[in-house]
Formats: sequence, structure tokens, C-alpha cells
Amino acid sequence: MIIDFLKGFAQTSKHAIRYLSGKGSVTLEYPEVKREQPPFFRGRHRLQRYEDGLERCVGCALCAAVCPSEAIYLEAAENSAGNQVSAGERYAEIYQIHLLRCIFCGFCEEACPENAIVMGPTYELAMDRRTDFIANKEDMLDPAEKGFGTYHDYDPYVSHVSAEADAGASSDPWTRS
Amino acid sequence: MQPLLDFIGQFVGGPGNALILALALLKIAILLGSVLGVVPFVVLYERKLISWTQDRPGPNRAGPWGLLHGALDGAKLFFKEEIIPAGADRLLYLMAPSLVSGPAFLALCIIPIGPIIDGPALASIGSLLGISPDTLGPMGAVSQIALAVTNPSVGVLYVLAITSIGVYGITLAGWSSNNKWSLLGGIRASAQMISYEISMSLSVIGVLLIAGSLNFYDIIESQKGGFWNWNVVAQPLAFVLFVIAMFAETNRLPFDLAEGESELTGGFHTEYSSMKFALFFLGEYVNMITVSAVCASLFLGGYLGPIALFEEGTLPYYLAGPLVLPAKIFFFLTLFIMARATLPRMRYDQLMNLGWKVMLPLGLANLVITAIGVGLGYDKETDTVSLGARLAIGGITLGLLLATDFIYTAQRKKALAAQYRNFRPQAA
Repeated sequence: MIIDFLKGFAQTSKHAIRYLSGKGSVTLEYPEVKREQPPFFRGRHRLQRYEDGLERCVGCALCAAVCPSEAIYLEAAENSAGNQVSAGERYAEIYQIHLLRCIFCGFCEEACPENAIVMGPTYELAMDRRTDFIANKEDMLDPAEKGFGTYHDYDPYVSHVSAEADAGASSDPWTRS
Repeated sequence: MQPLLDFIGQFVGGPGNALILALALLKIAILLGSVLGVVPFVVLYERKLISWTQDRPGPNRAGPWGLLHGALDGAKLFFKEEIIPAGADRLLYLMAPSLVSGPAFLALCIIPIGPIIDGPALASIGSLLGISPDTLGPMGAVSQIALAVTNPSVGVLYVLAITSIGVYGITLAGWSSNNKWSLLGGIRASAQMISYEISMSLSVIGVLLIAGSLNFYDIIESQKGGFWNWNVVAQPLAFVLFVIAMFAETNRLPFDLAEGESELTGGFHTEYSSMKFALFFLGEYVNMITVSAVCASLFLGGYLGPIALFEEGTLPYYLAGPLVLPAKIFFFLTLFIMARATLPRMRYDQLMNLGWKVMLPLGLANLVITAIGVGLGYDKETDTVSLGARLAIGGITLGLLLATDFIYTAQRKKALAAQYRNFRPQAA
């Protein structure tokens, strides 16, 4: 019994000493240090662009159709010669996702034929007002100068468009596969 | 200082009485202030140490290294809503928290934190403070200063009596809350404390036999000279029993059945909120400090260092005491906390078995062995027990402890083997 007690105390002491000597902590000090999310993490949505800056979304509203909680609202408009927003005929003029309704199931990214909407790595979604939870297009759209298509480089989860299949994709409607 | 003492002395019958009064107030203020000030940090230390054993940093948000967590926790409790259950017995319900935290302080009052100041040291203090030798000095009205709030001749008896008052608070808290979980917790606490108080007292009697006194100063001074004179050497079995009983007395894991948050929500303090809960909390931690101090004084030489480094009567000799005793208390607090991090809570029947079937017989055996040893090794001229006799007592009782442990372990193994002999995993 005494030996068993001492064994127990040795175990806890070992962990305490290991922690104090600077190794063995499993805790990340969250607000200062953030854990990198895995590629298939389903956080807040992203709307992707092609490399030339054109939006991938063509306003087909398949995401809104498949959404089980009807969190997506979308209004499409025609591209014109002077205002080429997306790579297709139409683009999403209004694209809103109600994040309080969204259940982060990822159906929208699976439904999207253009691979425009994907689930991003953002998980800090606490906001002060209910209206803030409606994510507008500007909130989700990748910035034109840096964000495009990177998602496929590391995504093993959404398999219906593999990196190889999307390799030759471009915003030119005639060369698109 | 002297004119002030003379002035107050007009009302209390002489400057000597005034000085006694002033000293008592000063000691109480120091004790209360230091203990209340240190409790938040003990709480923080507990949370930190347990976190470290679980590979996590622990509270580190408020202040540097989280030093403000305990204090802010206390401040938070001040502002919490106070709820008294509708069916509660109001008087007892309100009385219980102070019945728990009060005795803890009362017991702490008589723990000496340093040697008695007398002789030339006292005279130099008197001249330093500008008090006439007639009031404070070897020949004066106040001829010695004990570094304890009070120094009764029956100190150990007083401690045993006072600490058992705390159980009234817990039992009454459980009963007056009008809540079945609280009541269960209170009943468990009373049964547990009665069982373990006996072992505690029995283990203390061995120490009293060797010291030949109930006074804390006499007990500590009898352990003077070096760590081989400490009672833990002569009374290892009593030390182990006392430490186990200590855990039970303070309701700390592995004996926190009275709280038992996994089965009784909060046990006796389920229905308490705000400062009334804070008093229970405070009482628990002050109790830990108190029993640690008592154990250090009885077994580990109290304010005495492991080796006699300084000559008696010199300044460092007096200064070392208030540093050595807190170090020993810190050791026991660490033991308390590590036990909480290591050991699971005991079942009620296990608790009773350990208390009555193991610790009580061992305590009695220890008492008999010690009595024989003291009888054989008593030196009439110096009024002490010889080192040889004390070592013999220590060896025999330690052997008894290890033999008991060996037999118990073997029996337990056999019982477990019998229990699982016919056990076969069911084929799927």
C-alpha cells in the first residue's frame, strides 16, 4: 500500500516537474496563440476567386437550394461587357449567409459546381448584435490581390473537385473544362 | 512608548498590563492579517500545482502569473447574491459558517512561531522601543514574550478540543440547509471526524509521553538540537497516523466525503452562497494551515531548524523561527495538494475500515510501545527520554507500520484474486 501510494505521488510529481521544466504543456494560451486548423475544418465560409481576380461564383443558387437550414440568400445579376465580375454569364449581386442559422454542414461547398464557396478556417464568430451574424459577400469574398484558389491545394476532404481536375481551370469561359 | 503605556496603564492597572494588552492585540492583528492575506495565495498555489500535475499552466490571467486570482475570487464572492433556502433553520444556517472558520483561527492562536523572547534580548527590545525595564525586561512586569497569541499550559488539549468544534459547523450546515444532499454530507462529516479524532488523539499521546508536557513550547523545546531529536524520528507511526487523520480532519481529499461533489453536489455547503460560502472556503484553508502548523510543531520541531545553527539568545536565533515554521507549513500544504492531485476519494466503508480497524489499533499499539520505551529510557536528571530509547521506539513502531502494510497488501491481493478467480469475460 505504501509503495502504491508513493508510486502515485511519483507519477503526479513527475508531471508537475515535467511541466515546470518547460515541456509537456498541452495548453495553448488561446487569445495570444491560436491553433492552426486542419484543411478540412468547417468554419465560416469563403468565396473564392480565380487567379485573375474574377469571382468563381456564377450565381446559380445551388448552395441556397441544398442548404438544409436555408441560411443562404442569393440574388444573381448578369455580367456585362463593362462589368465582368465573375467568370460565367451571371454573378452573385447579393450573397448573404445567416451564420446563426448555418449549421456548418458543408453541403454548400459540396453542391457548388464552380468551387466558389468553401468552408474557411475562421471559427471566432462571436458578435455583439444579431445583425452582425449576417455575413455579406464582402465579408466572405477573398481579397482580390491575394486570395484565390488556394483551397484546393490542401483540401483532401471535398473530393468531387480534386486539385488535378481543377488544375487547368481558368476564368475564360471557352477554355474551361 | 513609555509615556503612552503609562497613560493607558492608568485605566488598566499599570503600564505592564497596558503592554500585555498591546502585545496581545498586536499578535492577533499579525496572525489574522498574515493568515487571511496568505489564504488567497494558498488557493492559487493549489490550483497551480494541480494544473502542473495535469500538464497545464493553471490560472494565469489576472495579474502576473495569475497572482490576483485568489484575491479577485474573494472579491467576487462579496458581490454574489446571498440565498437562504426557504426551509432552512435560519439561526443555525447563519451560524454554521462561522462555526467552521472560527475554531480554525482559535487553534492557530497557540501555535508558537518562534522561541520565547526573554533575558538580554528582551531588555534590548525594551530599550529599542523606549520602554522602561520595569515594564518590559527580565525583571519587569512583562518578563517574557511568547511568539504565539497565547501560551496555555494545556495547548495540545486545547487544539484537539477546538478543532473538533469545527465539525459542529459542518454538521449543522448540512442539517439546517433542509436539503438531503447537505444532510448526507453533514452526517458523513460528523461520523468521519469522530472516527479520525480518536486516532489523532492517540497518535498525539505518544508525543506527549516523550515531551512530558501538553504545552506547545515545552514540546518544541524538547525536540531541540537537531532533526534526530524531532518527534518524527521517535514516532514515525504516530506521524503517519496524524497525517492521515489530518486529511480527514480538514475534509480534504482523499477524505472529502462531506463535500463529495460528484455524488452530493457540494455536500454540506450545497445551499450556501456568497460570503457564507466564502467562510466555509476560508475555514477549510485556515484549517489546513492550522493542522499543518500543529503537525509541524508536534513532529517536525515547529520553529526549530533541522540543525541548531544559531546560538540561543542571538538575533538570528529569534529570526529563524518565523521563517522555519512557514516553510514546514508550506511542505504540508504541498502534501495536501499533491494528495488531492493523486488520490481518488475513498468510499464510506473504506473510510470507516481504515479509521477503526487499522488506525485505531495501530495508534493503541504505538501508545503501548512508546509508554514502555519512555519508561525504560527516561532520564530523571535531565527530565528527558534518551536518544537511544527514542530511536528504539521509532524503529519498532516503524517496523510495525511496515509489517501492517505488508500484511494488508498481501491480504488485499489475495482477496482481489479470489474475487476475480471465477471471472471470465463473456464470449461474444
